[in-house]
Amino acid sequence: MRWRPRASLGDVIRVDGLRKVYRVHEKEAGLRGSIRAFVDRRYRDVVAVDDVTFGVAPGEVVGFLGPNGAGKTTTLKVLSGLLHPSGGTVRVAGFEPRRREGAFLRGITLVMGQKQQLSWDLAAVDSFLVNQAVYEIPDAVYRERLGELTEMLSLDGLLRKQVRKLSLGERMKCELAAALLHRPDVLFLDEPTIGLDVTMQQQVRRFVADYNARHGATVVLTSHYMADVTALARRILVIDHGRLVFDGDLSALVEARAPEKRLRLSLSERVDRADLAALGRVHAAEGLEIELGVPRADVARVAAAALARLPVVDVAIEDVPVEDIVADLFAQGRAARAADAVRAAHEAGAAAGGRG
Amino acid sequence: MTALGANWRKGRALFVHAFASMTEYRAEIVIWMISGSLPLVMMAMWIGLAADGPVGGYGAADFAAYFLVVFLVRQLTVVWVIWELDREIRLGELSPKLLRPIDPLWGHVADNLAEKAVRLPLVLVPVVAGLWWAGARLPLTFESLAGFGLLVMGAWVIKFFQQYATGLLTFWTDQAVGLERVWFSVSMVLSGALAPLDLFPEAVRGVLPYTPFPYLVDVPVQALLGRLGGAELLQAFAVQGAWGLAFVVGSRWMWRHGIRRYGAVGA
Ligand SMILES: Nc1ncnc2c1ncn2[C@@H]1O[C@H](COP(=O)(O)OP(=O)(O)OP(=O)(O)O)[C@@H](O)[C@H]1O
Ligand SMILES: [Mg+2]
Repeated sequence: MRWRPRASLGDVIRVDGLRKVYRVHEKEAGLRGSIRAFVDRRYRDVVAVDDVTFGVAPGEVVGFLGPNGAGKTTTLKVLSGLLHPSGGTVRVAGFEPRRREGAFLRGITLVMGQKQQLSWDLAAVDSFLVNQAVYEIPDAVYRERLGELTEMLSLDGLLRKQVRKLSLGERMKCELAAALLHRPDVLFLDEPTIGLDVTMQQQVRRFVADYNARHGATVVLTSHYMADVTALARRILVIDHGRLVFDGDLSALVEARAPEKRLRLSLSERVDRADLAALGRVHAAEGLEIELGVPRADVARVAAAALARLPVVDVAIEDVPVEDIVADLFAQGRAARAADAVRAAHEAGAAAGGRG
Repeated sequence: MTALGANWRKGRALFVHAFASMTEYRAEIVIWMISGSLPLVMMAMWIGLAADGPVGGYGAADFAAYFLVVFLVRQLTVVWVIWELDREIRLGELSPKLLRPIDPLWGHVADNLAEKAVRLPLVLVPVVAGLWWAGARLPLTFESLAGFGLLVMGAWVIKFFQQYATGLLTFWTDQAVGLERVWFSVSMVLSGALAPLDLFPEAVRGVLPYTPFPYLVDVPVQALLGRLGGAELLQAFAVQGAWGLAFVVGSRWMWRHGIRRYGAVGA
């Protein structure tokens, strides 16, 4: 795995040893649980982010990947000043986010895929006007930006409708516009395409890419849609159980984690499984459609061999899908943790046995 | 743009936005208004008691005037910000507000003032009609009107920031609303909303002026009824102002300390 150097001086975002622990109040279910909680409150600490260190250069687009509950949203909330870190240091554009200074807030935005800043009873423009005043945007500049956002996000006809009457995707686009009226230099996007249809997802993706290109903004985004990440970010951070497990180029991840390529063959007639296995690892074989895993270096040779020896109708060479690579990475993490747990349980058992 | 100009524009934008929202809730505001009509029930009760002669110096018309103005004062100082804070803090709705470079306090202030602008005309009609019907005459001097105006504002400041401070307790506990109910019950009695404070036992009346309660209802009402002299008015401003300041400072302190504990739950 290739690691970037730790945060460097020119970075607009610098996170060093970030740790965030939530204190959660444990309550058992039912009336008895409620009564017990009333007299004897129990707390448990949840380590959501643990010793995370990274830096982001100005203008960079970084994708944050990780399974549910990994700590992605928590990290973004700390970076945008909503949560105070439990440990470590965080700097964004030279500011300490938790202080929430005006100059810091004017330079960032955080978009989360849920009900946000627009007032549901009013039209989106009504909320935009509040932002114009709050961010001290002069009228002419406001009109120009609104025009640009309307064009980039196709907002025509949406801005004067009561927000609650907009569809999810329409509302999301209006939220994005509201979040960018002040033209922030640093964007934190938490699952900005969640729940959107494919066309709308593409539109939002294209918009983010455009915004980044036009204004040189730095973007940190999370998503469970790999396409968001592959389309926008060259560099990715993979976080699992609060820990950073990969930081580097997407292509480096693919190379490091997927030393193989996929060779897809369409055959005209069935062949012996042994003949296939002789060429490479059989990944899938459904009827006449065959998928082989082949080491990168051998792809050309194996393809040629396949064409020579097998009744091949069609051939394709593909990279392993990023989804599979990341799923694999998470699965490894889970396996390692499970092994740790088993070992710990074993040792505890041995210790108990020794005493008894 | 000067800082003053920018702040004026922010305040105006927040108010315009809040006013537009509140007009969407006209019907609810009427219902809230009716739910605040306990003083009118008390009025009917006290008028009944005064049928055979004045009670503690209050005749039927005096009770009518007192409680109609109580109703007016309470309507002008209605505050519900604790419910907003309780919800925002527990459910994470505070997050989008924290991202904006303006203290969320100002949004709440704008909401409350905008609601007053919608409510005021609705309230004045029954109050003026009631006073006319009961044959109650208010002196309406400059002193009584100005004193009333300032004392109502002061009462609003105390109530608003007391509730704001109590609401911020949600950063530490989810029982803030319960605490507010206790405060509400006590203040209903001790502010003079159920009976004029003149009718309270001597011992209680000796202590009350040092508490914030009389300044929420009884004192502004007495000012409009023309029963407070210049010296009494000045004294009322001073004590009320001190309580108002204490709650403002207290709630600011709680905000600074509580915000560190904010969990920003949600998505
Ligand atoms: N306000 C909170 N109080 C207590 N625990 C929390 C809170 N917010 C998150 N957690 C816990 O912290 C961990 C990380 O949550 P976080 O929301 O950062 O994950 P995520 O990577 O964004 O996941 P997802 O992909 O599901 O959005 C989870 O175990 C979650 O249960
Ligand atoms: Mg999340």
